[in-house]
Amino acid sequence: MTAITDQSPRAERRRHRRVLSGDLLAGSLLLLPVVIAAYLAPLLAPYDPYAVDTGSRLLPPSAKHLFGTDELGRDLLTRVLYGTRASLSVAFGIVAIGTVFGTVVGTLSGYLGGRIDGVAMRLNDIVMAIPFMVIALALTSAMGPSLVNLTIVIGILSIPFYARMARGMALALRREPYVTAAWLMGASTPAIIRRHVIPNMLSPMLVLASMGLSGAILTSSALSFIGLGAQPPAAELGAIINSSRSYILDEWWYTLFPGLVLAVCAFGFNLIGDGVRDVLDPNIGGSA
Amino acid sequence: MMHFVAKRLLSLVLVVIGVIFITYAIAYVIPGDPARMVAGPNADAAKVAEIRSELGLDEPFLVQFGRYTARLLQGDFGRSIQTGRPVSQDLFERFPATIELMLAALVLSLVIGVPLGVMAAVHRNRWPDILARTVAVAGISIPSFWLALALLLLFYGKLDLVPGSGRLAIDLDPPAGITGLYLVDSLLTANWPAFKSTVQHLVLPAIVIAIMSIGTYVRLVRSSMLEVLSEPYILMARASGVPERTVVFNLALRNALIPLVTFVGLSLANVLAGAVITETIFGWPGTGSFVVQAVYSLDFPVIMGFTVIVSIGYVVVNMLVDIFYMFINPQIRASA
Amino acid sequence: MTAALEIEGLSVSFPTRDGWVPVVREVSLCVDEGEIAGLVGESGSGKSLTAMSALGLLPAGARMQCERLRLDGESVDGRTGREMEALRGSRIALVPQEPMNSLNPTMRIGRQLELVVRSNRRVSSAQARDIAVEYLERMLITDAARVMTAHPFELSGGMRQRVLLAMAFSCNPRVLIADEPTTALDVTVQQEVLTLLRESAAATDTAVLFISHDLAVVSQLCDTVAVMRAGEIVERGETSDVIGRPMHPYTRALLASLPANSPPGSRLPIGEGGAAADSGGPA
Repeated sequence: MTAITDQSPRAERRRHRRVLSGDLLAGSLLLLPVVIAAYLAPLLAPYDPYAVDTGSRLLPPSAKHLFGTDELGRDLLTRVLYGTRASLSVAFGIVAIGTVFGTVVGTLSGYLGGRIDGVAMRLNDIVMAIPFMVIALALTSAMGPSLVNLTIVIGILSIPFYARMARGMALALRREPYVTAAWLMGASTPAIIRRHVIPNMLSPMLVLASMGLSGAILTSSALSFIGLGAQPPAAELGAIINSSRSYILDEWWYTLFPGLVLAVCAFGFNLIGDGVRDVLDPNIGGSA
Repeated sequence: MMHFVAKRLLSLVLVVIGVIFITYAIAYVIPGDPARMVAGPNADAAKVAEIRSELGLDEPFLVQFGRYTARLLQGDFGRSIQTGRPVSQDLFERFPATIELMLAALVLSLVIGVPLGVMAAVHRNRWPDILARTVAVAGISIPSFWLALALLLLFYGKLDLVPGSGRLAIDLDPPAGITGLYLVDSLLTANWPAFKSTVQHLVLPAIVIAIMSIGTYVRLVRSSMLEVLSEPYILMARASGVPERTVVFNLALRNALIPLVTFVGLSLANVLAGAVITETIFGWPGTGSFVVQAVYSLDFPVIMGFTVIVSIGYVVVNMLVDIFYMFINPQIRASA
Repeated sequence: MTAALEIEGLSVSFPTRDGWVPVVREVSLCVDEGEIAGLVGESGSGKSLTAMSALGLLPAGARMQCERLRLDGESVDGRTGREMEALRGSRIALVPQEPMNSLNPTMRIGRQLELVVRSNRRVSSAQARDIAVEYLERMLITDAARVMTAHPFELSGGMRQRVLLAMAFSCNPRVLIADEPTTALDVTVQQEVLTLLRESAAATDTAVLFISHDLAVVSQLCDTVAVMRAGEIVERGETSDVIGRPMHPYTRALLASLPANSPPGSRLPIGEGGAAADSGGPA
C-alpha cells in the first residue's frame, strides 16, 4: 500500500536529515555565549564604554579590568562587548540584505527567464567584475563613513552572489514535476513561486546565509579598520583594533582581545554554516 | 569552439562598458569637487570655475562619459590629482608589485592547501583529516588585518626577523627589470642580496593573503577527492591491481582537481585587484595601497582607471579560465 | 579439480548508531577452476560484500572476520586491503556492474588498459598496449585501435562492458568476480556479454563467481548456484538441482517470483528482503 510520496526537495531532505552535527554543536557552543553576551552588553558590561579615565590609561589585564584599558582609560572588556554587538549587528544586516534581495532577484530571474534573466545576469556580471574593495571604499566614503552605510553598501554588493545562487536553484526547481503540475492546474506564477519555488529554496539559502555571516563580519570589520565604519567614540571590533595599532608593541592586550573575539565569531559562524549544511543538505559539498 | 569564444568576447565587451558606466556614475555622484581639489585651497571661485570648464566637468553626464570612454580607447586614463602624472603610468608602475604579491600568495596557498586536502581525504575521519579541517576553518576565520598586525608584532617587533614594510631594503637597487617581479628577476640575474631581501619582505604579506585561500582549497580538494575516490572507476582500478599510490595521485587527483580550476581561476582574476588592506598595513608599494590613498583624496582619474583596468583583467582572465576548463574536460570539448 | 576460491565462515559487519550490524553471516563458498558459480539474492542480501571481501575491497569501516580465505590455494585471510594489492588483477579480478561509470572519464581507454597491464606484469609501455589490443580483440571489438584512443563517453554501454571484460582478463586472473555485469545493459547486449564471459573463462580455466539477482541468467550461465538471503546462504548445489528441485522455501519463493512463473493477476510471493529483515520465512 503506497501513499503518494512527496518528492519535493524539502521532503527528501527531511527524510534524510541527520539529527545532529558535530560542527553545528561546536559552532553553537562557541558562538551562543558570545552573541548573548554581546547583546546583553548594557547589562553585563562593568563600565560605560565611553567613560574616559585618564588616570587608568593602557593598563594590562587585571582583576579590575579583565581585558585591560585603552589609551583613554576606557575598560577594554566593555568596549569589546559593545563592539561585538555592533559587529554582529552589521554582519546580520549585511546577510539579511543580501539574501532577501538576492533571493528575490535570482528567483525572478531564474524562473521567469527571457529578457529579465538576461538583463539581471548581465548586471550581475558587471557588479561582480568591479573590484569589491575599491567600490566599497568609494561608496562608503562617499556616503559618509558610518556603520549603517557600511551595512548597506556591503549588503548591496553581496546581492549578486546570492542572486546567482538563487537563480540556479530557481532554474532547477522550475523543471520539477510538481511545479509543472501546479501550472497545469492553473496556478498563477506568483502563487507557484510563493508556494513551491521559494519554500524549497529556503534550506540551501539558509546554508549560504550562515556561511555568509562569517565573510560579512570579517569584511565589515576590515573596512572599519581603515576608518570607514564606526566613527570614534563608537565601539566596533575593527575600529578598536585600528586604534590599537599605535600601541601594539607594548600594550599587546589592546590588539589581542578584540581580534580574538572577532576570530571566534567568524570561526563560530563557519562551524555553524558547515553544521547547518550537514543537517539540511549534505549534497551541497564542502567538508564532511 | 570559435563560436564560443566569439560569444564570450562580445559578452566581455558589454560587461566592460557596463563597468565603466557604473563606475563613472558613482564617481559622478560622489560629493566632493575635483575642480577645487586641482585648483587647490587658495584658488578663488573664478579660478575653480575655469579649471572646471577646462576639465570638462560642467558638461552633461553622458557627454562626459562619452568623452571619457573615447579617451580610454586611446589608452588615455587622464592624470592623477595626487601625483599629477598620467594615471596609466602611476598604475602600471605599481602593478608588478601587486601581481608579485598575489601570485606568491596563490602559489603558497596551492602548495600548502592541495596536499593538506589530499591528506584529509585519504585519511578521512582520522587525525590528519581533523587537523587539516580545523586548520582550514581557522584559516578562513582569521581576520587578515589582525593576523597581519600579530605577525608583524611577533616577527618584526619582537624577533626582528623581517622588515616592517616595503618590498626591498632601502639601500638595495631593484634587480634588472625583466618581468618586474623582484623574486623572479633576482633569481634570473643571480642577484642574491636582492633575492634574500625580497623574500624577507614578501613572506609575511603573502602568508596573510594566502591564509584564507588555504582554508578554501583544503576543503575543496578534500570534498572533491572524497567524491572521486568513491566513484566506480576508482573501485575498478583498485580491483584490477593498480597500486594505491597510483590510484590516489594519478587517477583520483587529476579528476578531483578539475573543480579547483574554477577557484584558482577566480584567484587569478582577482590578482590585479590586489589585497588593499594587507598592502596598506605592510606598506607594500602596489596598486592596492595607492588606490586607498586615491579614495581618501578623491583622486577620481585614479579610482576610475584602476576600476576599469582591473575589471577588464577580471573578465578576460575568467574567459580564459573557461576556455581552459573546456580543454581539460574532454566531454565538453567534444560537444562544443 | 582444485578450488580456485575458497571462503569459509565469512562475516562482515558495519558500525551503526545502534551497534554492529552483521551484513554477511558465516558464509562459506567454494569455486573450482573452470567453474562458473552463481551467487543469487535480492538487493541487500550481502552478495556483493561477500565478493568484495575476496578482493580485499570492503568499504571503510567494515569489519571482516573469516576462518579461511584462499585464493588459488594460497591463504590470504589475514591480509589487509593493501597487502591484497599484489594479488588483485593477477590472481583475482573484477567485472563490475556499472559500465557507465567504471571507466575513468578523463582518460583514454588505451591508457587505462595499459596502466592495468603494467600494474600486474613487468612489461614496457608498448608491450602493454599490444596486450591491451589483443584482449580487446578477444572481446570481439573489431576496431580495437580506434577504441584504444577513445574516451569512455564515446563508447556505448555494451562496448564499455567489453572493455571492462578485457581489462579484467588482461592479467590472467585465476578467479573472476562478475558483479551483476549485465544488469545495466540492454537485453540483446546482455547475451553477447554473457557469451563472451563464458568463453573467455573457459579458455583460461578461470573460476568465475557470478553475482546476480536475475535467476533466469544464472540458470543459463552457471554450473552451480548458491542462494543468499539476509546475509546467509540458504541453499546451494548444481544449478539444475537448485532450480529444478528447490528445497528451501525462500528459493522456491524466488523462483515463483519470476513473473513467467506466476499466473496473471496474482501477487508475487516475495516481499521485503535484505540483510536487515530478521523474520523467518518469506513475507
